Amino acid sequence: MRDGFKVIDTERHVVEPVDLWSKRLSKEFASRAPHFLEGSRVATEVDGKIMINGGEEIWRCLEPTSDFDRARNSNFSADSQLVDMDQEGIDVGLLFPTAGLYVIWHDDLDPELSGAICKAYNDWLAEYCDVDSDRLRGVAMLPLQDVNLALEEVERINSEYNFAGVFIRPNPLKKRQLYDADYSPLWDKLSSCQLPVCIHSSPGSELPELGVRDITGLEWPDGIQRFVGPFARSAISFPLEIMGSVISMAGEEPLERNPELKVFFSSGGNGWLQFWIERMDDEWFHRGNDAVTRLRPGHHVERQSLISGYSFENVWPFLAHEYLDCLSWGSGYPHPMLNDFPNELDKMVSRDDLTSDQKRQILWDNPARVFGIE
Amino acid sequence: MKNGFYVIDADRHLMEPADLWYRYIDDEFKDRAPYGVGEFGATTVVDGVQNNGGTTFNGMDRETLKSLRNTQGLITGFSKDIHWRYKYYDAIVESFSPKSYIVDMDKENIDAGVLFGSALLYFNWRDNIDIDLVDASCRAYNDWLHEYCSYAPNRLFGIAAVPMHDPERAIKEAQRAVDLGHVGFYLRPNPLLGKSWHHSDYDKFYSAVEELGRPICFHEGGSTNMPQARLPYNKTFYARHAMSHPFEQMLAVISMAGHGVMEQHPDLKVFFAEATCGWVPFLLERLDWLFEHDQLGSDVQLKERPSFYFRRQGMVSCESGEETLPSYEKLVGPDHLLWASDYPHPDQIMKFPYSLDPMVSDKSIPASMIEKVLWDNPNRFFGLNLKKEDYAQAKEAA
Repeated sequence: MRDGFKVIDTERHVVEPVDLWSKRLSKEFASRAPHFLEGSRVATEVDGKIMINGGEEIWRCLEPTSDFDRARNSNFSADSQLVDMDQEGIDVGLLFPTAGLYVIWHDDLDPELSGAICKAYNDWLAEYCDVDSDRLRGVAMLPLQDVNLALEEVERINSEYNFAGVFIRPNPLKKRQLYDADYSPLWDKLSSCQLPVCIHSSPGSELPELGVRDITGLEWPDGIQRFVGPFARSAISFPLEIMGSVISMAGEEPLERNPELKVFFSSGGNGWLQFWIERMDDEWFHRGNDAVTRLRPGHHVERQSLISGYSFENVWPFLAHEYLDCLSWGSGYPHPMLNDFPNELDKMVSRDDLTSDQKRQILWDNPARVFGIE
Repeated sequence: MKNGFYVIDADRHLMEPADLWYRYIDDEFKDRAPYGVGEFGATTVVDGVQNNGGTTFNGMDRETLKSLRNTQGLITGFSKDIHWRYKYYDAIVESFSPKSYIVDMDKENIDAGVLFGSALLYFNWRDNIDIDLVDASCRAYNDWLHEYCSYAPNRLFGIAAVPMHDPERAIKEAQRAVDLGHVGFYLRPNPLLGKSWHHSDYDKFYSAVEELGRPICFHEGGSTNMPQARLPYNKTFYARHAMSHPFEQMLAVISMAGHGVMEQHPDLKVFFAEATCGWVPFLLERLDWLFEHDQLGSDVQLKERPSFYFRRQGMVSCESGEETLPSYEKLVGPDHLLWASDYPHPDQIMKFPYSLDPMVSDKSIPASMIEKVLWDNPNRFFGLNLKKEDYAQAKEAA
């Protein structure tokens, strides 16, 4: 609670203990368990593959800084998460991974190994959340290299745990975009389980990276590295990759086919929302003869999506006017690229360009509805 | 003039005649010059290789390709669309002659237009291409463009092609283009020869363009075979087109404003065209935020924030009725926006000849901003120095 507002932070992260997988993988996979690169809390080596591609510098945030000392000193435990939430006045946190943003996202990772990594992560995350199951709501990982294995894991976590949703990267894995027919059974299943799809981007995975490592030029079959530094990659990969996933889900088949499926777009902020709905709809109108959706893409966004925005964004009042039902707020804790702990919530609550009713809806009502938080 | 507003349309398109390069290119290049092939001549083939629309015609022997050449009419795939053929009938029957072009401008009450081509978006944009041929193709295009604009020199202002494969030659052609009366230089935002636009190889070109006082104009075109910021493997053209225009322009802004080009070349003017304007506020905000971040901004050295350079030297265009105009006005301001009809490309089919109407009656932004967008900004930015009274008199005479 902060200044009379109940608060769900829809974009927080756990930082995985470095022995998570070495401790938890079954014997069969133990020798191939992910291990962290020297000094990193993000980059792992898995089965001979380095699971990061030039993104390391973005993650210096996890090196010592005063902001997160308390959490770091307790190895980013669930208790430290709760204490830091208390300091800001955050009631409930939606928890995405950190190393998990990278650890399985490789075309050639053995699907069985990917499944084992996800299972271990999900078991660990469930224990983490059990420390206060009302306030810590985890987002599970799925081994998308093999959709059948992903379906099995959905089945398992749905019967055993109380996760808020499942985390999926927007980048194409094994040349599949999110609307690929291979994924249809997964969206059907998640819809029937009422588990939202939580899409989260970050620069530097091993997968193709829109605008950074484009693989679309016919003269560049292996892709082309267009930008290298953290400034450009952070500017591009978070919002553009998310916008790409919006058109994948809303402008192709998934959301229309599954009207009950909820999709949550996080990590890209929300500044693009009004522009992108208008752009997609306009293009659908002018060039949509080859489009597969019966209704305009924006319809599906408005009906089935939640978009997490950051405190610093200036478009909030414009969005609150047009798309209030689709908005939530996220802090990005404890990734300091977008997080100014412990001041993030304060910046949001003290905005003078949103009404109290709008803030109430953004900070609680919308995410509570989408994630089934009482 | 419409509703009391004088109007410069900042991004219109010409439809190049299919025989443009046969007529204008130096003799030695005629066999390899750009031409359209296939149904309606929709695909630009240069020196036996497709520059856009995939690879259907690649690998064909020269004689077969020659037999598929379209030597009549226009180079455009739009002709496939019956709505396009219906809507622009008057211009099509005249092969989009300058005369028909002015007639269509008059239908919309547009006083002056900045003219991009259509084949211009593709004909010299491929990595593996003979530089001499590119150079000659650009010269031919600019000569044709000059002749075209000469029909109404106070109303038609051309954007020139420059051979960016070789910046030294691009400088030469840019200088020649200005002598011909052209008012800007066309660039694709996609990386050419594997280089982003902040690559130091382009420094001399940017310096030369600064001196010439005319803007470079980034402008995407959906069906390119170049690297393109969009979903790989995606098959729907609407999704590709929805993404590639604004995404490529965002990357161009990151190159030009975020990586020091505009700072190093303070008089360089840059137009990020035909991608609407709604993405600008959030991109600038994010770039500034990242620039000031002690870790994430550490790889860019700028004296000012990226948005400063965009505001000093950058420009985008909107079409009529964009819903994000109020946020653009508030967050970016009224001085960095142009209006464009996109005549006669598919986005305009449903709007022509009324594409100006929503803009001149837009109540979501102040009339003073509309006036800037329709006249003051393009007049200043392209260095046109047009005087409204000249157009008022022309109207009366007509």
